[in-house]
Amino acid sequence: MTTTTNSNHASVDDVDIELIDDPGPASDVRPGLVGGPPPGCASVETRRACAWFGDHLVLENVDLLMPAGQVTALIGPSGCGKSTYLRMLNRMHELVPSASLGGDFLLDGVDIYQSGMRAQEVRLRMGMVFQKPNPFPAMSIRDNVLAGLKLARIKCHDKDGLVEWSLRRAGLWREVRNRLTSPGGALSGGQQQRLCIARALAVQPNVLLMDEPCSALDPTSTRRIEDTIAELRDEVTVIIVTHNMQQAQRVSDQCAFFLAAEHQPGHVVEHGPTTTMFDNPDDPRTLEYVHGRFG
Amino acid sequence: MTVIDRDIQDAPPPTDGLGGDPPPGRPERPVRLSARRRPTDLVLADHLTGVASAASATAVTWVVVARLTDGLGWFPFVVISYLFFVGLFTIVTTDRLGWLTAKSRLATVIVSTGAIVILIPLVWLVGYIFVRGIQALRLSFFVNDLTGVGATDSATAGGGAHAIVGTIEQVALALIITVPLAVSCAVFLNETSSRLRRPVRIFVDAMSGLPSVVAGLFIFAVLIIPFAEKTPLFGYNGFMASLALSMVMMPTITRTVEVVLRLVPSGLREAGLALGASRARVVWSVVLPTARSGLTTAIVLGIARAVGETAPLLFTSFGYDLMNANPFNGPQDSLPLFVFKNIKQPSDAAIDRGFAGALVLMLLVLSLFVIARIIGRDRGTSPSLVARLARSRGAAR
Repeated sequence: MTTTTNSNHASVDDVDIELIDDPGPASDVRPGLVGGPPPGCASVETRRACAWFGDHLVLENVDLLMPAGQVTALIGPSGCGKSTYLRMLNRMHELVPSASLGGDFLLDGVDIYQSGMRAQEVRLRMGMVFQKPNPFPAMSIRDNVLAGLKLARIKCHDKDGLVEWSLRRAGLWREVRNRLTSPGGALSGGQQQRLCIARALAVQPNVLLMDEPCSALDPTSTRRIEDTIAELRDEVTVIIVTHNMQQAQRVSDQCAFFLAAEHQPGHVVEHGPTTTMFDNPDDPRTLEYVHGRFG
Repeated sequence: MTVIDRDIQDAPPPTDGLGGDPPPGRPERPVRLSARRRPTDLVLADHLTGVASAASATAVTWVVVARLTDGLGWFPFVVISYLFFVGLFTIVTTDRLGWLTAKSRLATVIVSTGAIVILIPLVWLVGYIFVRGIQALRLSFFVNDLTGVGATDSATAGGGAHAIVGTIEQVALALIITVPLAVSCAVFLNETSSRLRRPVRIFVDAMSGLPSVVAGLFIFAVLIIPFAEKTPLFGYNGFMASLALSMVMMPTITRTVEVVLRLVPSGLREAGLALGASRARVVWSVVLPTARSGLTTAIVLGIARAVGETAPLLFTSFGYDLMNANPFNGPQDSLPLFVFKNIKQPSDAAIDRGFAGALVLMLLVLSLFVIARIIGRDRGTSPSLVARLARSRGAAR
């Protein structure tokens, strides 16, 4: 009993101190990688993007430009193809046995589906955070952060620095810095999701795809992740799928509204700057959806 | 424990008032808690019901059997009194607590009976081997072979060191051959989308039904008969035995590993692929480490399947009464063969020696299991003893 109370007390103190001193200068130095993605953020563009599962067309002619260094939110009701669209962007769609696709997908103007382009390279440049937190249970927190380096054979001279940099970026550093060797599966759901974000950031991708990253999290963790997204804005292009309108409004610069009807595949109804989309959209369906009167 | 904690807490006054005595100064609030209980706990009356039902059932059975028959023997007596017991117990419990509770208790009684019935032969078997084996088992058993042991010598003369060495070498060789093949096969079955998976799976299933004597016969016919004269590597030796054992172990390990790999969440594979890894890399660095403890289980099951096999050894390693530590040259003994040969001899001493061998075989399997569990313990989820000790010390401070 005594020990528990004491350690609780100590950790509360810790957090207080940490809240006062901001992430130190160490966090601004981005440790260099050898064999990683090119530096900077990248723009993503799709032209007439279509997706099929078997013979079933689920997404039709999506034309979108997601500018570099901005946050783009993909909104829309369930089953309208947002996640499928996201998974086409980093070539995860093709892992489904019956899946096929059409159209052009450009990462900084280069077609990612052209012959000679390796899916692994595309995925390396476009990190992904999944709806359900999925840290590797057999690895420690530190190894989880460095998993991308190990898996993609990237070298880094300053691994400790990279771990700290990534965890600070994901807003998890001060909670786990004293137990980097404990297993990643032992964290809470929100911490696990931030660990997954740190893992995706450690390879320093050009684009970060987030598929409903906060849907399983409590409001506090959600807020932390939104802060993280805001901080990342200058370093990486973020594309986020969300069902939470307030979240889309809070974090995104651009917004795209997807919709699917009964016998009609998913398509983009409207897209544009978030403020326009929320305050003064062209399409009445957008207005209804963003204000929660529809879908 | 609690008392000590109280003592420590009394010395410095608690700072936050959580979980300790109320801070000094504030009057103690009189709190009357309701009585603690667990709804599923059994009370004394429940136990008494059980005991009384059993006693009455035995008495009723005894009266019935003694009055109406000339005695049935113990087995029908047990069965009849058990049926009486179940009936009486249900009636009394229904009367006391209602039909719903009675149904639940009845199910508990029947399931527990099943467990005990299954346990009896197991305990009997292990106990019998232990009691018979321990009589002839001396420390010298682990050191000596059967050099100079004649038919008239006592059971404690000589030993089974040569058989222990043979078993360990043959099973180790078989593991070295099997584990990479079986794990690759399981990865093929679970991680690829090849059309050949179905036929391969059927093949593995068919192989798991292969009689072990056929595996030995296969090695004998295909390797030993044609090649034994040319090189001693293909003569009667431990290596040939381990090849035959591999055929027995392979399907067991493959199917178990496949099941274990299927349990690895697909989200982890996706996470690995999304980080830019190749599929092979994901299997090697994510899927297999995650399934680590399951892989150990598979290997343990494979060992269990192979270590007691006698039939495949009869015409591959052939058996030998002296120490031969080289598995690649010359006949070699192993514990199952040692037991087999000794038990069928017409001498009490040899039979006792055989039981000692059986006991050692069981102990060997047990220790292999323990070793495999220690090696395969999930490092991710259960930290090593050293780390745990260090942490508990840190917490105590």
